[in-house]
Amino acid sequence: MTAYDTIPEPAQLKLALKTDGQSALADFFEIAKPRLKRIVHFRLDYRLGGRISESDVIQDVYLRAAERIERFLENEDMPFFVWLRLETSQRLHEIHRHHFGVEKRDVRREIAFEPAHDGRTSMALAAHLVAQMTSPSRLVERAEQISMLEKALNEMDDLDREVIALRHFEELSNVETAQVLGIETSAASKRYLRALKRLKEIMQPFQSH
Amino acid sequence: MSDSPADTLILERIVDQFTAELRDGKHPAIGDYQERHPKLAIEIADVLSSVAMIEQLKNGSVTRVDYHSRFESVSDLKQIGNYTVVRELGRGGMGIVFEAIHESLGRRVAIKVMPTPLVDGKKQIERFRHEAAAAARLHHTNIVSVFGVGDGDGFLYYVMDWVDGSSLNAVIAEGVTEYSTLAATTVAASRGAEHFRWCAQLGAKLADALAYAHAANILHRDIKPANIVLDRKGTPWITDFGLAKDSSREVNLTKTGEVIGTPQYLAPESLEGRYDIRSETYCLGLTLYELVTQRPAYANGTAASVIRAIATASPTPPRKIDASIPLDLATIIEKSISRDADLRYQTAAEMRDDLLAFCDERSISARRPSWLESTIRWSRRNPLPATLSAVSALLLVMVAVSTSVGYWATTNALNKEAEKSEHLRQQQLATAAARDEAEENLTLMKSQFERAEANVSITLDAFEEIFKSVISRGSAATDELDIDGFREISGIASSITKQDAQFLNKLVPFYAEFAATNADNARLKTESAKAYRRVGNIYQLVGELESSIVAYLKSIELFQSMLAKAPDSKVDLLNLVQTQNELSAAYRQHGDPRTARDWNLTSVELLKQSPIATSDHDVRLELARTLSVLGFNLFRTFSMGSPKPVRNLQLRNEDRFNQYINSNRPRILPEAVRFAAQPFSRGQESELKQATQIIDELVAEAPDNDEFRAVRATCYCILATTRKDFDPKIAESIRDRAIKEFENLVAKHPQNHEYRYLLALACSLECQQQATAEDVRLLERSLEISAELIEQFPNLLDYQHLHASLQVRLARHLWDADADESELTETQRRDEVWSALKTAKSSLQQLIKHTPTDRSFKPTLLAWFAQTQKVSRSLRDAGDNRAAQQVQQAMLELRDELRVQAN
Repeated sequence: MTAYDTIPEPAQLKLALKTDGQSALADFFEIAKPRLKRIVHFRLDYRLGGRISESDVIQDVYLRAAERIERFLENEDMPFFVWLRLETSQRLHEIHRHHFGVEKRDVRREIAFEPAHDGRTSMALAAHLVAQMTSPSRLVERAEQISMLEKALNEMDDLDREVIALRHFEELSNVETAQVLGIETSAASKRYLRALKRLKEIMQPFQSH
Repeated sequence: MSDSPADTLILERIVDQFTAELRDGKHPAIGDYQERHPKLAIEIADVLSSVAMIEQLKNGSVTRVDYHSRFESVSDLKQIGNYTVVRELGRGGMGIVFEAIHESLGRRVAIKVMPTPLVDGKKQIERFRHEAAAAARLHHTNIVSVFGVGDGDGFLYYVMDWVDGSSLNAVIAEGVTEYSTLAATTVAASRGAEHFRWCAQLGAKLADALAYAHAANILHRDIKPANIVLDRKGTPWITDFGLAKDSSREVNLTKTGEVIGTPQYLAPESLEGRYDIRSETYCLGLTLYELVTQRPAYANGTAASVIRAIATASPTPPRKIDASIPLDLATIIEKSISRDADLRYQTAAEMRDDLLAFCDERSISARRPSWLESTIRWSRRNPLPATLSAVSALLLVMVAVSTSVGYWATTNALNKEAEKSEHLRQQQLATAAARDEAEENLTLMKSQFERAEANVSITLDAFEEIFKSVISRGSAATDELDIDGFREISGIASSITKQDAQFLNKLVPFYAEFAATNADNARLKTESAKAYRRVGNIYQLVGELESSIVAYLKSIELFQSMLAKAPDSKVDLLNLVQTQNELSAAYRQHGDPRTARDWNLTSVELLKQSPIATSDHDVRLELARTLSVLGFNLFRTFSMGSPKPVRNLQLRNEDRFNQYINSNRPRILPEAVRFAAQPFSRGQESELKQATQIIDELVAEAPDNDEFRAVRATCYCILATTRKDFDPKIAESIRDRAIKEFENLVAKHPQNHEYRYLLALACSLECQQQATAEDVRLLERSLEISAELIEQFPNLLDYQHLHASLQVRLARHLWDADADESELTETQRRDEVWSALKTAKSSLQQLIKHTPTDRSFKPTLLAWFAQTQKVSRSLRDAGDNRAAQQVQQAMLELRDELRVQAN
C-alpha cells in the first residue's frame, strides 16, 4: 500500500484506485478531508449545528464515495476532488431535505448543482456568519455590515454569487471553481473579478461609514 | 476598465496571493499591489477591498471552527471520572450532556461536558470551577442540583442530579396533549382555563427558583425552554446553571460582551452587553410566552434577523395569537417582556407574586390601574352593570382624556425634537456637543413616547374588554364572539338588554373623547377611527340608530383619509369596508334599505378596486360577505315573513291595521310592509352570483375553513330565495345544499349557536308556491331548533324573532291546510293554531320590549295580528264568545305594549 501526501495526477490516481481500490480511496479521501470539512461546515445549515456532527457527514460521504467509485472511474472528465465535493453536496442535500422538508430548497446549499431559477435562492450568508459569532456586542456591530453583504450577494446573478461562495467560503481555487460550475477557467475568473467589483460598488457607501 | 485576458490573469493572480496572505493571518496592504501594477490600480483597489471585506467578516467564525472540531472529540466519551456514560442526552452550544451512572454507588446523574478552551485555558478552567461552585450552593425544589466538577483529557465536566423528564422545549414542540400523560394529575389536556392556570403555576415556580438564586447572587444567564425540564410529575426544574456567573464577585470572569445565550432568548439590553436580574425575568417571560402561545416570541430565523427583531420590535401580543389566553396572564407576560427593563418586574419575586395572584384569581399588580382592572372583572360577571356608579364612569372618562392628552403632548414634543435634530444635521452648523444633546433628548422623548403609547393601548384594550364582555352576555361562550365577524356583517346584530345598553352608553364618552382628541394625530388615527366605530357599534346595539350613523360616518371619514395616504394598506381597507357594512346595517335597521344598499355597493367597489382583490383571502372573503349581505336581508324577509301573504295583507288590511294598531303613528306599518314586500331586484342576483363564485373559490382553496363554508351556505340560501319564483325545483336543491352544509357545521361545532340559527333559517325556507310535506317537516325542525335557541339564549332577540315568525307560519299552515286531509277536527285545529300564536306572542313581546326602534320584525307582527284576527273571528262564528274575547284581549295587550314602547 502506498501512502500519499497529495492527491496525484488524474492518470496516476485512477490507476491507484483501480489497483488498490478501497484502500487507495481511503488514502486520498484522508487528504481531501480538511477541505471537505470546510465545505460541510459552510454548507451545513447552522440550525443543524448541534444535532448533526460534521464528522458524521464526512463519514457518510466516504461511504457514498466507496459505493460509487466505479462510476467515478467511468467518468473520464471528472476531477477527483470535484467528484468528492459533488458527493458531499448530495449528502448535505439529503440531510437538509430530511430536516427541513422540500420547501427548504432555498437554503443556500445547493446552488452549485442546481443554479436556481426561481429567484428564491439566498446565500443566507448573514445566518452563516452571525451564527458563528459568540459575542452579541460584536455581532450588533457587524450585523448591519453582514446584512449588507448578504443583500449585495443576493442581488447578484446566481452564478456570480456561487463563484464568490466557492472561492471564499469553500476556498476552492479558480480551476476547481470552473470545474464545479462546468465553465471555462477564464470565464470563471472573469465572473469572479466582476462579482468582486460589483460587491465593491454595492458596499462602497457602507464602508466609508 | 480593462477587460483584456492578460489583465484578467494578472488580477486573478493578485487576488490569489492577497487571499492566501490574509488566510495566513498576515495583513497585506492593497497599496503594495497597486504600486506593482499602477496600470490596474483602480481595479486592484476594488477587487482587493471586496476580498478583504469577505475574509474579514469570515474571520468572526474562526474560533468557532476550532471549537467545533474539539467539540466532536468529546462526543464519544465512555467514561468520565467515576461515571460510566449511558447515552448522550443532548447538545447545546457549549457542551454535550450525557446520562451516566456512578460506578460504585449506582447513582444516576447527568453530566455536562465541554471541551477545554484553547485560549486562556487555565483561566477558563478557573472560571468554570467558580461557576460550578456557585451552582452547587443552590438548593431549591425547582433547580437541578450540581454536586461535582472536574476536568479530563481536553474537557471539563460537571455532574448534576438526574431528572427524568422532557425539556420544556420538547413539551412545547410536541403540543399539550403529549405532556398531559407526562403529568396527568396537573395538566389539563385542553387549552381551557385550567391549562392556563397550570402554565402560570409553572411560571410561578420558575420565578420562585430564580428569586432564590438571585438572592444568592447567582444569575442563570440562559433561561429558555430548552433549559427547563419537566419531570414525570410535571414539576419544572431549571437546569444548566453552567453559564451562571457569581455576581457577588468583584472579578468579572465573564468578559464583557461575551456570549450569553441563544439569540432568540436575548434581552434587548444584552445586545449592548448589559445583563441583570431583570434580563432574567425577561427570559422567563419569553419562556412563558412560548408555553402559552405555543410559539416563540421571536421566530427562529437567521441569527441576524433574530437580533434585528429583538433590537427593534416587540413580540405579537399573546392574545392576538390566541384570544382564549386570559387577559391577566397575557398582561403579566407582556409586562415581563417589556423592551424597557424599567417597565418590567424588577425582581423575579414580583413576577412570581403576580403569577400566583392570577392563579388565585386575585388582582394582579401588572400595569393597569387596579380600579380599572376591577371594573373589567366586574363587567365580566355582573349581570346588571347599570348599577355602575357615576363615579366609576367619570373615572373611565378621565383616564381616557388624561392618557390621550399626555400622549398627544409627548408625541408633539417628540416630533419637535425630531425636527430639531434633523434641522441641525442638515444645516451642519451644530457642534458635536449640541448634536449629542439633541440626540439624547430624542432618545429620552422616544422612551417616554413609547411608555405613553403603551398606556394608550392598555387603556384601549381595557375598554375593548369591557365592551366585549357586555355585549357577549347571554351568548354561551365569550370566546366565540366575533365582533367584527360574520354576525355583524350579515346584519344579525346581537341584541342586548336595556341595562347593558345604559352601561354601554357610559362607554361612549370615552371612545368619543378619545377619537376627538386624537383624530389629528397621525399615529393614533387608526385608534381614533376604531373608537368612532365602537361608538357606532354601541349606539347601534342600544338602538340609537341616528347617533350610530353619525359615529360610523366619522369613522369612515378617518379610515378613508388613511386609505388615501396608503392605498395598499389591507388593514385600513378592511376596517373601512367593515365599518361601511356596519353603517349599512344601521341604515337598514333604520328603515332605509336603499342607502344601506348603496353603502354595501361602495364597499364592493372598494374591495374590487383593491390590487389584491383576487389574491388575498381576507379581501376576497370580505367581498363575498359584502355581496352576500346585499341579498341577506332579502333572505330573512322571505323566510320569516313570506312575501305573498304580506302583500295580500297590504292590499286588504293595510288601512284597518293602521287604525287598529296605532292611530297616532300611521307611518310605521306601511313602511314595514313595503320593506318586507320589497320586490327583488335583478341586480342583486348578479352580485349574489359573484359572491357565490368568490366564496366557492375560497372554499376550494381552504376546504377546512368553516367560516368560508358558513358564508357559502348563506349565499346558497339567498340564491334559493332568488330562484324560487323562476325555478322552484332548482331553488329547492340549492336550499338542500345549504341545509346540508349547515348541518355539517352544527355537527362539527355543537357549541356554536350561530350555525344552529342559520340552519333553522335555511330549514324555514320554502321554495314552492304551496308548502310541500317536506317544507312542513323542515318547518317543524326549524321550530325545534329555534325553541332550543330561545330557551338557551332568551336575550338574543334574533332568536326570538325567528321563533315568533316560525310559530306564525306554523299557525298559517295549520289554518290553510286542506280540511279534508286533516285528521284534526275544526276545533282541534283552531286550538293548535291558537297555541302556536300564543307562543309567538311571548317572543313578540320580548322583541317589542327590547328593541322599540327595530322595525325588522314588524312583518311578523302584522302576520300575527292577521292570523289572530282570523282565529278570533272563527271563534265568534262558532259561538264561543268567551274564547273569542280572550283572543281579542291578547291582541289588545300586544297593541298596548307596542304603543307604550313607541312612545
